[in-house]
Amino acid sequence: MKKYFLYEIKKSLPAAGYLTLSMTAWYLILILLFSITRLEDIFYNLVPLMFFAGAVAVLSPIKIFTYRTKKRSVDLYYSLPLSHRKILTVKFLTGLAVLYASYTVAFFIGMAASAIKTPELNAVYYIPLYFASLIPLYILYSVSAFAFTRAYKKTDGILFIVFWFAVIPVVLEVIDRIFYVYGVQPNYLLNCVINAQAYSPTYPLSFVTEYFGGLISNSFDKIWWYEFTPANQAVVTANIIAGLTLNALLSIGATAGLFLLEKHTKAENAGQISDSLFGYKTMIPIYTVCCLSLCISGSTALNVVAVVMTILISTAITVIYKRTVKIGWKQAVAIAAPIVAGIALGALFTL
Amino acid sequence: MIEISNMTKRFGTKTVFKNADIYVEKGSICGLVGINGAGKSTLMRIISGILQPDGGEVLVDGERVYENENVKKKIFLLPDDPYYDSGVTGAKLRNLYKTFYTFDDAIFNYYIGKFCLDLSKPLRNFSKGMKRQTFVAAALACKPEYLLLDEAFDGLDPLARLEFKRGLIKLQETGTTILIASHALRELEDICDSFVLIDNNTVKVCGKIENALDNIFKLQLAFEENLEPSDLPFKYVSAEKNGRVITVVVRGDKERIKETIAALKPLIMEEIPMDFEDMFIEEVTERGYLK
Repeated sequence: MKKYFLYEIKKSLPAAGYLTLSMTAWYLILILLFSITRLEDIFYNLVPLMFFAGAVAVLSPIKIFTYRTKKRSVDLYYSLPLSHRKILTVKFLTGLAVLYASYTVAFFIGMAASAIKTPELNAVYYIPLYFASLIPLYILYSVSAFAFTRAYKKTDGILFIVFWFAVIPVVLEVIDRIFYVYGVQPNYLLNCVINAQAYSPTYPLSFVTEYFGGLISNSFDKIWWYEFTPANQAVVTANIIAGLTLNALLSIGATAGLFLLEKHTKAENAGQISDSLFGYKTMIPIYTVCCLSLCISGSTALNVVAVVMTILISTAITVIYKRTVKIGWKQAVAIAAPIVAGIALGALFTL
Repeated sequence: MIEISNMTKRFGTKTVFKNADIYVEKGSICGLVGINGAGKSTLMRIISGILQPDGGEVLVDGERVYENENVKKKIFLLPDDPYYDSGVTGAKLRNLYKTFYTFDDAIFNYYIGKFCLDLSKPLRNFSKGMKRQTFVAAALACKPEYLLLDEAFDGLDPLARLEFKRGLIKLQETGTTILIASHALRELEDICDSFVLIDNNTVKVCGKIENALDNIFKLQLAFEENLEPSDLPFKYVSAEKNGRVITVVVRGDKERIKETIAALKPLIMEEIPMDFEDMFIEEVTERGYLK
């Protein structure tokens, strides 16, 4: 395995080089382009860097694990004298190494440039920002890797990543709506301005950037959190902690799932219909029910359009899933049931 | 040796293999033959450990193959359409196989030189045959104990085929067991000593080629009376009548059949040599293929 890991690292060097150059250039150009009139203006270059790194973390598993979606590449890798889990481990670690290496170079070169250009910054806080940001980047990478590898085709994998990144916030929005509609005492974990957003895997990176960016730019006391009353600050803090904890648990679960479920991977599934329980089978019904129930909250024309769009998209994704427009009665029931449930739930909201 | 016993493999509701038994002797060159869709490639993928059988045993040197790194180190599979990353050159391909196998650079460079290939050029710019040549060079250089070749000769020009066959024989002399799936039966007959015929989800015939050819023969007959094939007093695999001449393929004791025919006082009784391809055609048409 060690030899194979070194082989993959060596093979990835050109890609790592291009990525490092692009990320560094991106960050440096932004630092040099934007003049800092107020210290908090550093967010104009810090946020894009984090966005770039975050995008790489989400998208790189698509490239790394595409080998599992084609019969030819599966035949190559699974015929090699290495277990499936070891191949997966090497690929996973190589991708992570490339992500971290390119991010590290871009970050510290940018940090140096920022500190030189704007000596008033509390540049010392870049160090904890760097280490803190490694965790959210891992969260993004691991969740994306798990989601993509549930699929047997590349396009399905990309859709699964999208599903997984929004499913918890969407479900929590519905739960929050239920509490709100039925006048239940506001749930302190949910009912605040951050709300469902905190539970997306993208949130930890956003939080870390904002928190340490505030310290670096000495504008910590100007961030939005301070605009709230102490009571609401407590709610928001609880929400942030819950969101970060949930995303950490999601990442741990994704990592564990990725490796523990590998023994069930079959080569003959490559290129076939992606019928994993962690994919279309559960995501289509969940999204259909949640999105429909959220859309149905009035009788405006816009809501009608949203409802129709949701039904059409749900049906279209089912067609993509099954790879046929011929729908038997079982499939028709599978499409109709969540639609009916979503409309019924939405109707309950309007009562 | 490769031992497959009572092996079953299904893809969903479709059964590809049912109760298949195969024995490939160590150090032999075995041809794997069958009609299109018979399951040759699937069998290769099972033996190389890519696919897990749903039932039965697939053993190499007494050990199960699937997810067994020690056994898989002995096996090299060259599929009919090998995968390579975009941008991969012959040199990078060599690096990949060097990571996993005891790679002989001298053998690799010998064949690359013979085939006049440029190791620095991406494989995507090669013709089909040139890609095949590169993979053939890598396969021979890995010197595996078990070499599995799927459509080995596909895309190779006659000289490259000759060189490849020489390479396989040399490899066999070092003790390598070679399993070749191919439709080029005349090529297989040149180098294989045994064969496996797959048909109808199972193994129909498995054994030495010379034994199989000893057991089936073709006769050209003509009689004074205008006999039909159905008038012949013995069972035959296939028969064709062209004017007064009956060409018949028979399985069984040759001398006894000839004596039976001689008793009918034929005007002509001539044995036509049968090769491996002829035998295969008779075997599969007897079972109803393309009738």
